[in-house]
Amino acid sequence: MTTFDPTPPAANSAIPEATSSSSQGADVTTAAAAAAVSTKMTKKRKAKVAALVIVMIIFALIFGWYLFNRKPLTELPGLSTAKVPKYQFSIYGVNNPLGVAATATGDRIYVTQSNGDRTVKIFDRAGKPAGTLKPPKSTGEAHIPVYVAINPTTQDVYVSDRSTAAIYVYDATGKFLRTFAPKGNLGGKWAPLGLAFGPDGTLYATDIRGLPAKSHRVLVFGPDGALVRSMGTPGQLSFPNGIVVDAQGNVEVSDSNNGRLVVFDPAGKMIATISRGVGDGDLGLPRGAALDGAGRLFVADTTDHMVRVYTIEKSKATPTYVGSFGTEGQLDGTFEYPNGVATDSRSRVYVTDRENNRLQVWGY
Amino acid sequence: MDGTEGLNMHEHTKEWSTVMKKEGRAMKRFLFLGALGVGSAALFAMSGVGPASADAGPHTSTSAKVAGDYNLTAVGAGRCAGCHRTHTAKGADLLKAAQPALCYTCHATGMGAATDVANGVDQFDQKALRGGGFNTAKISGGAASKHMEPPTTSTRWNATLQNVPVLAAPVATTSRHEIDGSTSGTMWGNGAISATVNVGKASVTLECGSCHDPHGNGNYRILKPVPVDAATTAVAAKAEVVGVPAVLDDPATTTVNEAKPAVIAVPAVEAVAAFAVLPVVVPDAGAKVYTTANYWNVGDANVPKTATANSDGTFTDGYIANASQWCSTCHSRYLAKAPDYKTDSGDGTFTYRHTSGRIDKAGVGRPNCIQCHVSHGSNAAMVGTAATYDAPDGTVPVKTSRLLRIDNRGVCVMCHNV
Repeated sequence: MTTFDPTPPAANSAIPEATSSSSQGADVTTAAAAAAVSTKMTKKRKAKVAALVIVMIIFALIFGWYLFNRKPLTELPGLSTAKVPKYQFSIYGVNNPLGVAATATGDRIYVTQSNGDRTVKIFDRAGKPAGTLKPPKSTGEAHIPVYVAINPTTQDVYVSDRSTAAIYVYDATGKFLRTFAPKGNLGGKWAPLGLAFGPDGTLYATDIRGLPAKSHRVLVFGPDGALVRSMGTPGQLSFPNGIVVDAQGNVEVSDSNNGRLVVFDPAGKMIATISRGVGDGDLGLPRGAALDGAGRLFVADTTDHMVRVYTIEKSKATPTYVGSFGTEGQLDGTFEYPNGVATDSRSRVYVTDRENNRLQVWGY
Repeated sequence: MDGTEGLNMHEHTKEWSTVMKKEGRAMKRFLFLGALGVGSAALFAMSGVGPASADAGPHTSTSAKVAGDYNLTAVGAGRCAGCHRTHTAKGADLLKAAQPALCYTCHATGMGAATDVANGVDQFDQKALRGGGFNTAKISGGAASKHMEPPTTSTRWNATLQNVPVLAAPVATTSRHEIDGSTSGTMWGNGAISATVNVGKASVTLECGSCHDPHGNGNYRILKPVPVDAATTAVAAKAEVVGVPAVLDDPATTTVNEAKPAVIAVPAVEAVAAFAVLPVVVPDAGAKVYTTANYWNVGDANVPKTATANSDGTFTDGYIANASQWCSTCHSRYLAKAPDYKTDSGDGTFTYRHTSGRIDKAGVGRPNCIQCHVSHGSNAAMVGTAATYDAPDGTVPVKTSRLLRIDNRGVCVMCHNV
């Protein structure tokens, strides 16, 4: 191995003193030239060293950024976020999965199953089974777990159940804790479906109750479970499914049976929609929705067998369409009725592939 | 210092320069390799990869209405795109994908409709669907009961208060209409009465759309006036039958909104004949009752009576009256009126037949097809002899409950006091 000695050769010892009068002038000239060369070389070398040090510092910064964020290089700050992810792999062993949620690091992935034993399965980051969520017998015999969300302040896992019109709460390991008990007057029996959390633990839930007619809505509960707000006027929403809360506090909802995405401002006023159609970014039957740290919105368009990607910008109420991924099929990267979407902080996108009985993992 | 010393110094300088170059290259190599190593590690690490409802749903369309002017922009509103693609469809009828998965997207979990036909429940209130379910159902066939009134001088034992209760939770079905579009079966009794032994039409596949028209057509429960495959020449030997109307399967041409009595056209020409059907109309109801608390009660008081008056001045229940007619658009040779149970039909297979087309003038309507059978799927349990009854072709099906509402052929003793 070559070693590098940064110390220049001992010039004084290597270059004899100019004692000879006859050769003194020439020696001085030669020495000056040598010194000049040496100085020049040193400056050039220093510049190169400096450049390389800068490069290494940049690499170190990038590596430090990675260690902190665990994201691929394509997600470096400053690069465009307007892009769609690529297929990575699938996790099998789920029965007609509907909803999905992942921890920030993606080390726990929760998937609801609408068939088979109708439990919620937990997988680790590599896709290995890591547990099961199941409500106790006291909650009844019939269950269909639909959507799942993780409370960012407690890491508790919330699961909406269609058959019992309830939300069950589990700890991160899958231990049943309680049935969510909303505080306040809901105006009758509710039927929670889509779930999302704000950063402070505020719970957003879509409600597809049967009575009164045409009263589907979004309910907002404070961290203490108290009803804070209801969004959606009578007849405005029809079977709202997926729901997310963006950085501005706006709420994006899949208004499924109306075939559109609806945006409410924090006060509950509808400020934008993306409608059903066949144009770029138009929707068919939108279901699950998720938001990632880069401000990208993912909407599962279940009858179109793909996931729509939009970006949310502070200056625009309507999300900007970026593109779609997936198509109808059974091969890797194709879907048969995708329904739920989730993201983690490492730029992964999880999609339940209902009729293919699998969870697909996409990433940047 | 002599002249050689200066030369030496110069050479030494050159030597130093050479050393510097070498060392510089080494340094560059070191830094490059270092940077490459760090970069590769970072890149490797950062790769990050380890190993339709009628309520504003897709069923709403202009065809659901009888007449009127429509603003197509408002009515259409891109709604078609929920299920169809004009040029890039993946399923027949320009559907985005094949049935029943498309229909199950809303009707299997309650995420897009209350009527969950896969599980046999109404997801709004968990009540039992009257048609049962394709995967599970809530029929408590083992707990069926009735009350027996002792005979009087003028009556025999009289059965009353029949009850087939509902289970607390759905259980797996033991028979169902197979609607996956690929599982083939025999359409029992399809075709005209024939002396030639014939059990029905073989290799038939069904889908949701075989029986239902998702766009609505004015018929009760969006039933097709003529189900797919209903009209078929069971025996093709004499296909030409004068006077039998052509098969009508298009709501746009069948005037389904005109309430008219259903007719099953069984041509009276020899024992071997062609077979065709006319559309059956079950008038739609404004307030439908999809659920039941007693599976023995099959009527729907909300369905308007048919316009046809009975001889005693009453009107027949439109639903009960036409449900059997509608079922027999496919299972045509099953439809029989008393006293067919003691009259030779002339058919090689379905020779003597239980009454299945009698309409009770009070509107209760029994016996008819739906008194004993559900349409989608049943969880009734068959054990012992009941599990070994053969089908018309002599085979014993794996799923043995035959869409019946009560365990072990209990349907017989719900009416017959034996």
